[in-house]
Amino acid sequence: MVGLGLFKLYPIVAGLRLSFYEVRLIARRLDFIGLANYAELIHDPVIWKATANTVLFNLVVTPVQVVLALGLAVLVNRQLRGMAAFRSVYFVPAVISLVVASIVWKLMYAPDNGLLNGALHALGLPRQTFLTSTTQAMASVMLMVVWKGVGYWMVILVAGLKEIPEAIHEAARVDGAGPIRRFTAVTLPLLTPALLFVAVADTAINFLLFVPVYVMTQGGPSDSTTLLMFEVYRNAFVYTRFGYASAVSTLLLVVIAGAVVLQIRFLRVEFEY
Amino acid sequence: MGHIARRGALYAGLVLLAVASVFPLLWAGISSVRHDDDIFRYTATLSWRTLVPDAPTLDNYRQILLHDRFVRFFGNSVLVAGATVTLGLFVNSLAAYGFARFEFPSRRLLFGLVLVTLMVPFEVIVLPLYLVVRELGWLDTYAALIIPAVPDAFSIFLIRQFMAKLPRDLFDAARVDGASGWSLYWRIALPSVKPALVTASLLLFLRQWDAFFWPLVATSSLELTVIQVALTKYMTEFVTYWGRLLAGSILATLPIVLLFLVLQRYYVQSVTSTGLKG
Repeated sequence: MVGLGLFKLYPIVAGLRLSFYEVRLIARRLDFIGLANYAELIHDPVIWKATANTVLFNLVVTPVQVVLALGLAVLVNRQLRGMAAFRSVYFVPAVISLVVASIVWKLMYAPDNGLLNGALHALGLPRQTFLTSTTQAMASVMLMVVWKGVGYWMVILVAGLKEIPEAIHEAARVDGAGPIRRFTAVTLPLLTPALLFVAVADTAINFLLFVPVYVMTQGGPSDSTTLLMFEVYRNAFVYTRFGYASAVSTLLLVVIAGAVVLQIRFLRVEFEY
Repeated sequence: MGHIARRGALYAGLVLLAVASVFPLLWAGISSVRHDDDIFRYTATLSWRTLVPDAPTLDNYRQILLHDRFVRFFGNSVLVAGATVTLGLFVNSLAAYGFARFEFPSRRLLFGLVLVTLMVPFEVIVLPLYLVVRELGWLDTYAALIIPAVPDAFSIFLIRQFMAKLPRDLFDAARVDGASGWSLYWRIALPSVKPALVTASLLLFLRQWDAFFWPLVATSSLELTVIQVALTKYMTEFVTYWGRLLAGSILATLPIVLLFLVLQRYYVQSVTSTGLKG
């Protein structure tokens, strides 16, 4: 308990406090500077860029992941020979570490002679620059993250699907509901708690993403892929500005809280009968 | 006929998705047994050569295992993850036992606080945690890598749920047989919640094995570098040794894939039980 308090609880409060200070690591001193960190934040173009990137990243990646995970979950939940094997295979990207995934994808994205360019070439499409281009880098990172995450959320949704009693599906079938109607009228409403959990948890994870940016792009080219969590890292551990980094971290928390509240509202209204 | 065609299309779709899921890893594995020059030779234009190495070699593995410090990095990760699991199981199960079995003042409040830490992602607390660990003088030590990861709200929560369900008779009977406080925990409670212990261990191990941000900032010396951080250093410092980078990536992935294969049931349970809280 003491450990949990020291290593988990205290830092939550301390993080907020830090953002009002100038932290001098070498001198081991904290100077209170009020809202100066936040004032600087507002005028920092990189932070604005990172905030916009982070929001865009989530607007794309989270819905795509949730929808694909739902599709996969419904697919692998069918009683079919060999389905258990397919389910395990789809889970493979979720098993490997994010660092390894980022490294392998970075190599696959290699401009000119990378594997994905080879595939484009084989399909008769022009080769792309992927991570080295300001216009494609973000989409490239997004694609990798989608690939990495879908299997994980699929497993949770499969567990949710198994909770739905077969009898309800049977009753709907007897009442003459087709597969699509059964999906929208039975599966979706009954899966809402699991979907809501997946959406919220996925949002939190995607907002806090750091590894892909660090490994694949270091935020570049020209800040086109920097995310807020990467700015927290960069300010704290590259520029050693802890107070400022804490302010960025607080900003990130506010954005996440806003997103989660919106989601809960939206999804509740959407599905509640 | 229509039925067979539809089934065929379904399987085709399933296979296509399976290929998309494993292909990057498959390619990494194949490339790891190639010479550096060959890795990109057959990717620009795809052919059967892309997937079949013409002269498979274990040179990359030999190089990183015998001549680089890869074994040290790998060992660091094993040590850190192993120590976290061992200490974590003990500390968290003891806390869980307390919460499940004893009535004490402010128990609800304390358990509530445990649950609060469950909702707070690690990334949020990393800066203040860094300063705490720095004040303790633990920066760049194994303690920095291990100790902060030991107390874990999810493990406490999971084990407590299992222990709370144990029938009171079980403990009463043991007490009649002369078991005292400590052995009630060690001999009765712990063995009865093995599934929860396995799931918690698996989660702690994987979290530590995959950890990146914290080891990156909390340690700086080469002797303490864990495997995930080492891989990214391979990438920046030995830019052209793609084969070694991929061989290292495959080796770093092996333990978790083995764990996944052996403990698949618990693995899925660990994923879904994190989901069931919601």
